[in-house]
Amino acid sequence: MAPTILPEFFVLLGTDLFLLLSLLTCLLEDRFPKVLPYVFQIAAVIGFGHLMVSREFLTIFGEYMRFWYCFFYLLIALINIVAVNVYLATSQKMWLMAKAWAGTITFPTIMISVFFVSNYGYVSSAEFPFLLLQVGLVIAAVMIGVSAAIFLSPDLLPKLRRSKEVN
Amino acid sequence: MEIKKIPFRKSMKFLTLLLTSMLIATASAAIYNYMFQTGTIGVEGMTLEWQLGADNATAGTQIAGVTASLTTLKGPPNGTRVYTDPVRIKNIGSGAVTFDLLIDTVTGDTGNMSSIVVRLYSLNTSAYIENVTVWSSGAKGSDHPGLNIPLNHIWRFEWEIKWKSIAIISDSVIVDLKVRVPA
Repeated sequence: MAPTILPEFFVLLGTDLFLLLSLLTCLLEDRFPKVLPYVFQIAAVIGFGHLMVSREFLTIFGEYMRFWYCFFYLLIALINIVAVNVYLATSQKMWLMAKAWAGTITFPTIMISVFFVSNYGYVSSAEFPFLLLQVGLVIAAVMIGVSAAIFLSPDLLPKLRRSKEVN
Repeated sequence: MEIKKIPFRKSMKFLTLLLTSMLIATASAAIYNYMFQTGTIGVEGMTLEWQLGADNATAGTQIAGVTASLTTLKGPPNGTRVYTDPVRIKNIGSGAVTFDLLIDTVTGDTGNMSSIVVRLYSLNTSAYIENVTVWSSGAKGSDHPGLNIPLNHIWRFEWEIKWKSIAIISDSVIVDLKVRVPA
């Protein structure tokens, strides 16, 4: 079966995620170091360079090698998104902002990435080590369940906290 | 927050980052689009598709667009090694296709190699199709134009590699084959 996407798609996705991070950290510049948006822009430029190198060596690098170095770049972009989320929650103690970030940025980007990687893996008949995708999907499903429960019943979390304190 | 309260410096910074972001995203997408055309449309346009054969692991078959590379073709000294099914080609179009089989590159320990001959067989009819000399007498063989493959047929490429007596067990060669449909 002809591939619907090339492995380099993950670099493109990672580049766009870095650009998104750059713009968001610029908008929230009071909460982040001033240099951070530029660091993310540089990371996006590295992704662009990554694509150019991949283009030149398209026929030399095997599909397997191309997939893993492209996937690694996407993984770094996702780790940065999660790191910013953790930074907001722990260092800045901005729980509301951290929750909003998790719901609108972290979770959707991880879901989108898992979708494309699993789609690519299915088409290419690739085997992923350590049940990476299955574990990712289970975590995503648990997060959706917990988020839906808290959304539908906002007093659930305080109730749980109170019951812990009583015990 | 009202728009007029956003500091001018911040809005300029954001605008600059937005413009560079658009530039980077557009350039990256253009490169990806180019690669996608090179990697897949080229093959689809020809309606031919390389496929991994049963011996792909031992022969180190790698497929990238119009090129199929066999990266670990090994053999014993003064002996012959046959890979019966390392790579296949399939006609996935809407009719029979006439194509050229190009021997792109032969690299590695070619000095210790006597010959490489590829025999094409149809998996559908088990019929012998063609004999292709990839390497012989210290030189690359000639391309094979005008091969005609019927619709939905799959051909397997059987590789016969003969090594000279001076060859050592670690010797190996890499062969890149390409397909091309004449305009």
